[in-house]
Amino acid sequence: MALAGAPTLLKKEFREHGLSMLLLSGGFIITLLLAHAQNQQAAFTMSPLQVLLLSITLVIPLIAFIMGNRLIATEYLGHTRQFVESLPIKPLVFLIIKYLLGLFFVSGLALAAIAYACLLSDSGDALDQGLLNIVLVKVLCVVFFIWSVVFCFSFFGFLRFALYVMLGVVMVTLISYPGFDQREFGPFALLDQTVFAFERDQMPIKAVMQTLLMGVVFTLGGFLLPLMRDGSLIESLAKPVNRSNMVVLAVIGVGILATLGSLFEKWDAPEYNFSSDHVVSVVDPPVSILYLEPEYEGQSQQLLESMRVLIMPLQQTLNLEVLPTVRIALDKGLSETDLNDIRFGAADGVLVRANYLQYDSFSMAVLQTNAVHQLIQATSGNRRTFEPYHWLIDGFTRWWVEENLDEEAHRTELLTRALHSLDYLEEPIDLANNWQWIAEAVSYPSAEALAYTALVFFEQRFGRDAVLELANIVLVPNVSEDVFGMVKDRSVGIQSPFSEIAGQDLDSFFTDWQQWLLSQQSEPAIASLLSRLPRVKGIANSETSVNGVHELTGRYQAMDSLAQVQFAGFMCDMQHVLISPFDYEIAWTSGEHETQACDSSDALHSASSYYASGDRVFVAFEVQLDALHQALRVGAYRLVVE
Amino acid sequence: MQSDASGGLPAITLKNVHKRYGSLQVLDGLSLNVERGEVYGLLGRNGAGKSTTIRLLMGITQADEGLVSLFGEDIRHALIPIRQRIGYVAQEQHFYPWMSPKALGNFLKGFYPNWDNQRYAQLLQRFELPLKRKSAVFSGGMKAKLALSVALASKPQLLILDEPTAGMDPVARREFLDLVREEATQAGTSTFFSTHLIDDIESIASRIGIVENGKTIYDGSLQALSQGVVAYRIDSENDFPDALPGEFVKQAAQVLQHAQSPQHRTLILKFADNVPADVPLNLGWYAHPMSLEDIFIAVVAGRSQGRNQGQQKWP
Repeated sequence: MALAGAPTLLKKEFREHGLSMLLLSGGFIITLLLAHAQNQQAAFTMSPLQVLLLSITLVIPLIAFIMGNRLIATEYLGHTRQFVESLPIKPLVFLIIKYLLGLFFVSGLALAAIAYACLLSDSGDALDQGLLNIVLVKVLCVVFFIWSVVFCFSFFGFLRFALYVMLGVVMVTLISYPGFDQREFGPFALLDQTVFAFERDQMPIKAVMQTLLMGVVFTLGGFLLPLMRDGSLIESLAKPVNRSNMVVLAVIGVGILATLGSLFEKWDAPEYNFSSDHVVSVVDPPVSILYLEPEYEGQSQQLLESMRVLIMPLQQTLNLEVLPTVRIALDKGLSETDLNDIRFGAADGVLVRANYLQYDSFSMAVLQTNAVHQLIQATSGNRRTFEPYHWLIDGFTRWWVEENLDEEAHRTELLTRALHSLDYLEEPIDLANNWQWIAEAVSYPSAEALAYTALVFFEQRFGRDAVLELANIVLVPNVSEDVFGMVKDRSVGIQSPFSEIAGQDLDSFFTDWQQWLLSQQSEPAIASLLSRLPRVKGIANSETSVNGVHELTGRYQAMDSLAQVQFAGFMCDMQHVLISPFDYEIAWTSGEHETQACDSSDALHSASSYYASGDRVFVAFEVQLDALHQALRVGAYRLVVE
Repeated sequence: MQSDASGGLPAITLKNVHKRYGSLQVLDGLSLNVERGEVYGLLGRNGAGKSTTIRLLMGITQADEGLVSLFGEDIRHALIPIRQRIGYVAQEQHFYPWMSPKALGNFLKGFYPNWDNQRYAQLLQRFELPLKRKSAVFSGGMKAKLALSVALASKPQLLILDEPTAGMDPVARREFLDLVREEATQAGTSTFFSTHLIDDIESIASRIGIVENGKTIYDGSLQALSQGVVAYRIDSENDFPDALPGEFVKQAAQVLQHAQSPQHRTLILKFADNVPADVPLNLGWYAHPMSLEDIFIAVVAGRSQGRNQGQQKWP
């Protein structure tokens, strides 16, 4: 008896909203297909699970809103609720049917989106049961939360629009609030794009519980509101907003804005700045150098001047309206080859720590390149380091610095490094679409050298103005980091502007560039330097010894099997780090090094004690030699320990 | 018709019912009974508490205090089975606008075990309501007729009508009331309806209640009401201070209204029993005929006057 009439009411809901549900489902599926299709054709592809995230973030709330409007708001604004409440059915049953219908519908769409994403996932996604479970829990929790909010707000009649606006403002405020870590809280954490498609081990229990709790609160609110005061409250809310309501809303709105304003005032912390007295700086362009002790002022002034000379024309050439402050801090704890860059928000600019006192011209160029790189990255919304643009930003910044310095020795070293790295890469070399793999295989200095030579070739072929035009079009536009910016950014890409400027596509350009690069090895200086570089390959070996120990060792062999390895006093370094099953860019923050004088023994390096059987490990071999300023990577592997 | 285990218990019993919305006391000890087969009309001014009474009877709202019982059962404990035995016509009809009468019938038969499709079709035909046209295009009168058709098609034991003819044209009103009367006499359906239209009451009610300020101030037959309230008038030229129609009024009557005009003075009196017949009136006094509307106004106004003055005052 408790559910008497429920099937009839459910039938009525389907009759009334079935077509809309069908159309919404169709629209959702089409959107999903288009999103995945665009993703597959885009300049750089995302995991299908990231596309799923987009659909959950953008489309599901819209569909939930439409359903809430149809199922609830229309019923209450149109007073048909009064007709139903006189029928032999409990008001609670009426509400439950609407709630569950909406929830199942929206969840069904979300599940369909998950299923399709799973269908499209490939080995790169390494989708297993664990990841699927986590994604399912996250998505269903978020969908429950979204529908609960919509369910509750839909009872507020015309005021619901104001509530949605307020919710939006609160969300934006929370996201913007520096003291609020969105990655740690409720639905924000569950939808965190940095882990959504990748986290496969940790079920975000805390965020799930927070999201469920908030969903339950909104759900209860939705159920209580129409039952309060025998429904008279809802009847009042269903009336059109009158003047006094508007006044109340305006007062509330002003109150919220005032509160947010005062909060933002508090957040508007002064820009990060060096607090020491030992700082030299210029305002235009904004550059500051921290030098710690008075005796280093002279060198710091020189660095400041070189940065000013570098950045001033960059701003004019690329029409950069506002430049973030570039700060370089002397850190005597760092080695001469180490740079430590810290990326801030746009307001705080760029900070690079370096032990620049003993830098020669080449190392100084590396430092300057790093600073300019950070600067362009900051002005372009941090999205220019995505795969298709990464080679360009790396190549352009080095090209810009080297053009300014005009040191032949630098050019020789960079061309030699680039030529040397060709032996370790598979042809054809596609800088635009394989940048991460290239950088991993030959290390970032060599990848940067390759990109630099590509820009040098580009300049030779198309002229300096073409280089600047390409940088202007591809690197300068500031695209925001949110999902809208991501979509907008993806619609532009690099292929099209490149073809327009160069009159040829990227693939053919890269082919021409490789031929040109190879032709450079006949230059005497380059040939000489190249001959001093080791043509060896680091080999990682993982096996289980007879006594059951999992061994991970490293050795070197000549690139040409007939040649003898000539190490001539080089230092060999094996780097290794535990990595997750998913292939993402390796953050070298907790890796291990083992440096030895190079020789050709079978197990020069050993990392056997670090890993267990089944662990996934990244291993890289680098040779440190005096002829080059930075180590040469001669092998890199992702392997599973036997 | 559904089997009735409640036997001869009243169709409706309201006992000392109180209902408050915020600071507003809407019902303040309302009590009334509606017997089986009876047509009970609840009269009252706007805001007197009629609609709240009906919402209580339908279980849409709950009483703060007192008993609301239908067929001998507390509405709170048997909401669904009781509603299945009630046909209800609301003051305003809020059908789903996309539903035609046919679709509405199909929808509603899922809620009422005694739903009679044939009867429904007959009623629609009688009211000349188009079967397949959406109710959104119906006039107010057509919607009320549709509501009555729906209410009667469920073969109710009790028909509850909340000011059903308000806003209807005379022809539609007549058709509507005819059907209600017919249902009461032929099927023996108990009927409870609220109205502020005296004509409706006169037309079909066998017993009436007058509600004012949330209380029943009269509960009885129309005949008794009309016999218990009488207006005595004296022309100005015959009048003198403290003149009364007779000493009998002091023992048996309550002054509902005392009105003075340049031409005459009128006293409307309510007797506890019927108006004493053949009572000799003092010189110059005569009985003035009253319509039911006059009586209703006098009763309601007298109640308000009495409340305001605290006690009745003889001239």
